[in-house]
Amino acid sequence: MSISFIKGGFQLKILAIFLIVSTLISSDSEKQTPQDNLAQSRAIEFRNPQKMARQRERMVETQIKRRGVKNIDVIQSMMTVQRHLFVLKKYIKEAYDDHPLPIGYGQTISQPYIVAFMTEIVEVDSGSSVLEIGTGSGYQAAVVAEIVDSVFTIEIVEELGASASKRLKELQYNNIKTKVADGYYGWHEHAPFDAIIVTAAAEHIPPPLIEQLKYGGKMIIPVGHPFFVQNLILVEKRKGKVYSKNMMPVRFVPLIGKH
Amino acid sequence: MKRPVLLLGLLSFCLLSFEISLLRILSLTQWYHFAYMIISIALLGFGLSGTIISLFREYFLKHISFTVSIALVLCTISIATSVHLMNLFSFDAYFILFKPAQTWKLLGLYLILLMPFLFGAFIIGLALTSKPEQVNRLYFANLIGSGIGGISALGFLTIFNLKLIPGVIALISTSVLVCIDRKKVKFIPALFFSSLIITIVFGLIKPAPLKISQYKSLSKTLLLPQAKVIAERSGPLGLYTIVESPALRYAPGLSFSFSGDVQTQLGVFHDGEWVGTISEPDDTLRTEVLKKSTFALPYLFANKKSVLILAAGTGQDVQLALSSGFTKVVAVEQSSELIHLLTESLSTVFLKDAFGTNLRKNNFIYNHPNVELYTEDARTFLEKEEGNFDLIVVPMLGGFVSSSAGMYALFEDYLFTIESFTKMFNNLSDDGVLCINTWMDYPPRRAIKLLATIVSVLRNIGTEKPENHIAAIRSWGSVTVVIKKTELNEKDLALSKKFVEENGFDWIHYPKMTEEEANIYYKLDEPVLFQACQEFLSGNEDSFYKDYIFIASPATDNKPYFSHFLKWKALKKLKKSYDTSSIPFLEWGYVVLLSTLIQAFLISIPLVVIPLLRLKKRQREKKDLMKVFFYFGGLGMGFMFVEMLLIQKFILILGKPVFSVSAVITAILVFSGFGSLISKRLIQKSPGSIFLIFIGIAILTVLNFVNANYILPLAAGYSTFLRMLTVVIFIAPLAFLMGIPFPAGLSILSEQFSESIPFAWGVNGFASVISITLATYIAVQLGFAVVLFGSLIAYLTSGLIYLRLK
Repeated sequence: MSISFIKGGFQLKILAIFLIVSTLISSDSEKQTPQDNLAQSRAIEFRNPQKMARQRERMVETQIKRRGVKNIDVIQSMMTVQRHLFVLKKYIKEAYDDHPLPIGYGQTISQPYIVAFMTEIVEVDSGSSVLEIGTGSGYQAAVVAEIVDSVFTIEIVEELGASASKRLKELQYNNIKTKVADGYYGWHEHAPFDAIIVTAAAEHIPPPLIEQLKYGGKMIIPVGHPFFVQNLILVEKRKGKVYSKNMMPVRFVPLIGKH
Repeated sequence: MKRPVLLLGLLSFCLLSFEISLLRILSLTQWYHFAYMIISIALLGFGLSGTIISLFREYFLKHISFTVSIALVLCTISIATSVHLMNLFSFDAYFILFKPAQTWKLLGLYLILLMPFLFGAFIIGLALTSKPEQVNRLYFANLIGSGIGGISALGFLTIFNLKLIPGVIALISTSVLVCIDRKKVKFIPALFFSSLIITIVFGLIKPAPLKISQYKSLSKTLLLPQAKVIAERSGPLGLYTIVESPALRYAPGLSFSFSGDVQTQLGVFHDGEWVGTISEPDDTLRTEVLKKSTFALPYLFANKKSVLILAAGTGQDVQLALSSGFTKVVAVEQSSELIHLLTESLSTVFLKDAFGTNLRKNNFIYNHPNVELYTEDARTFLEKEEGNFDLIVVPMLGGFVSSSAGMYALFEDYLFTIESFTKMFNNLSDDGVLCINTWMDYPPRRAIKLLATIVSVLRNIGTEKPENHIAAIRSWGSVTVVIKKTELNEKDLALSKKFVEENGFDWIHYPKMTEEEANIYYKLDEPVLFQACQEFLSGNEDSFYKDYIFIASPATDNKPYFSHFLKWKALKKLKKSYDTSSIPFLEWGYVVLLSTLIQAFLISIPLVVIPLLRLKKRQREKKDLMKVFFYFGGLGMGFMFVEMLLIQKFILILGKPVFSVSAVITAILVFSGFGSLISKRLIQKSPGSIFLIFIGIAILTVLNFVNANYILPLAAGYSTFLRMLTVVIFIAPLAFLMGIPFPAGLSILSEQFSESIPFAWGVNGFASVISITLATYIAVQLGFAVVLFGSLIAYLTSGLIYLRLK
């Protein structure tokens, strides 16, 4: 009997050890801070800058140009901004792949093509002032900041906002102003804006944002799932009225016809 | 085994209640359709257990008490630690499309959840193999245990905190060790205590936290500044949560011309997904927002006496109706948990909380004196109601993201069918108005199917000029369709046009509208909604259904899948627009169902073939084994097809799916159990009668299917309990017969070919799991009538094989 008890105890110990170890393994996964990631990714960049640049070039060729983005400034910017410095450490290898990536907190860094498409569609130039709602990783802001004078970006999730702000500072994007706040109110002090980019999908467009858009200015809002932008809505303010337009990020086949 | 019947009964109880609790846990932490997939694959453990016993049958039979006690402990431990182990894999359901590493995590999840079912089914299969002379009693215990387990799971979900339930079930399964003979297995006490300690520690003292996916709207909302959960209510229907944050605002389909402030509101979530915001009748600021949304259209011209709001949710339309001056507002909402939260729980929260200054108990929308509230499923309510309403409203259901990603594709939705809309019409006063709202999606799918359904219904009821009865508008986020019983008059149209113009909405249809008016404020690539509506109205719907890239034909009670849009034939075209990894986002439910079916097949085939290969040399046995395969496979399929059919059919009578599932499953299992009990005597006394049993099953299945349509109106007026009782009485004779063929078949095997019993058990297990998924797939593609046909074929085939089995 006593031996069997020891046996039972032994099983228990093994199980307990297994569970403790596995709990430790599991607790490690999502808790890395975005700052650590940046440091890590910079180390990788330092080791292999050419490789990343080549990947970026391929991304622009195959994902951006081939899908019809023509604006030279946008293409140049996509070629310049080091996307791999904006992703989580564990996804660095996939930074230039043709899909969105998780950045934690239920948010994603958009698919490269969507970033390029949104930047092209709001038609900004060097003199423009742009507001972004939803900083996320800061990548979209960086892409716009390569083209325009000043970018104002607001993030509601404190952790994301703080790390993006730090990252953009380290990468010396001095023309980007960040703040952690509720994007609903826009950024009154710097309004009106030539363009507003809303990166968080919303089920309504906050009235203050429409108000802070210049006449003739453009606002773009994605609709869909964090991993799949089904549709973009382009909002324009003309002659006291607000118009919007459906901008499919893909060239869609005719809806009606022989299938 | 000292008391095999008790052992099997208790174990089956644990397995079924664990399965149901797991479905709830995974629906909460992930999503319902992924839960369905993961559990279906885990249930293949039943089939796998048969394969394993086949392979090592002699060894296991020789050491039966030892094997059973070890399997029992492993089953218990795997139940108690299941959620802990699941948490090790931070599986992102969506990311699997982009990242192959997720596939390994998914496999890990499958393996973890496979364990309890594998070990449990292993014991049951081994018991049937070792005591073939008692097959009828053992199978009886298995069925009755499962039946009681199913109904008790609902009790567990009501009483216990969800995360404690695996621990509670593991505690019961630990106690099953008592049924093992201590003389044969000396270390039983050691096993008992170690499994007890693990259960208590990991299941009850330190239960694993239920980690809700970061992509669920609740997780995201809780990241908003100062967000906190202020009330919660959990039950068999899921977890309802109310969240407060100064940054939480909701105004779907709001006009761009609204320049006021969208007020902060309290958000309500169901299983972590968005439901709506809490409304108050006196909140005038909120009313202003609602009046600048598309769904305010019918309130402009409907008579203001009585309104019926179906699936009223958190009461947004109730507020709109009250503020528009309706004196009688009838609201129907099926979730008693939600109603309780909105009318009771919240008042106590607010009394304690400083936030309650502007919200008091009397001010909750459903406590307003002009509101009559019914806690009932909307369609069931329509079945028994003979009302005379001036306005009937179906609000927008679900969240924006979840509805556009096709989360609900495979939910049987009896509210959005031709039959249901016809009922709504019948409940209108002579010049009454029906208003149906839906989300705008891209490319347009929901609104198009909605228009198709409405035009069909108007035709069916003999409306001469349907085009003069419909007014439909859209914003970028919402679509509102209004149908008047009489033709829309000049005044109605003038009011509507003013409203549309002021708010910058777009027309989809009004009488005598031209194409130029169709696509102004929110421009689509082509005015496809207008065009679709024109096609439907001019009688060209069939060619439109054929040519449109998504399914546009209306849903019916036979195929109640309004949210299913993916067309097989159009997949190639869709791939030209989207890459393959994006297509699931158009319709997750369907894609997951299909992938479950494929996975289940791929896993089952080799596991069925392995035992066959072992008997390669003996030709005659191989032939017999094929008979066993078709007989027990056919029984598994027939049983599950009938079960699924009855559940679906009786949802209409019982209202909530959960009532239907519990009434049908419990009735089928319990009465089958009694059928099993008499099977032995039946074989001994009149072996020839067994074939008649199969014919009886076929006839009673058809009768139940047909009767479901006829007893429906008769039972609708009674209380839930009486309706459930009616259903149980209806099912009982059929279920009784359904319990006979399985033990009857095993009895024959035990006399002539007893080594094939584990194979029969395994094949039955695989066939059952595959059949549930297959039945759903057939229902979606072809309708319930075809599922009925499938069940008849399965039973009659088994019946014919039975004649040759002897």
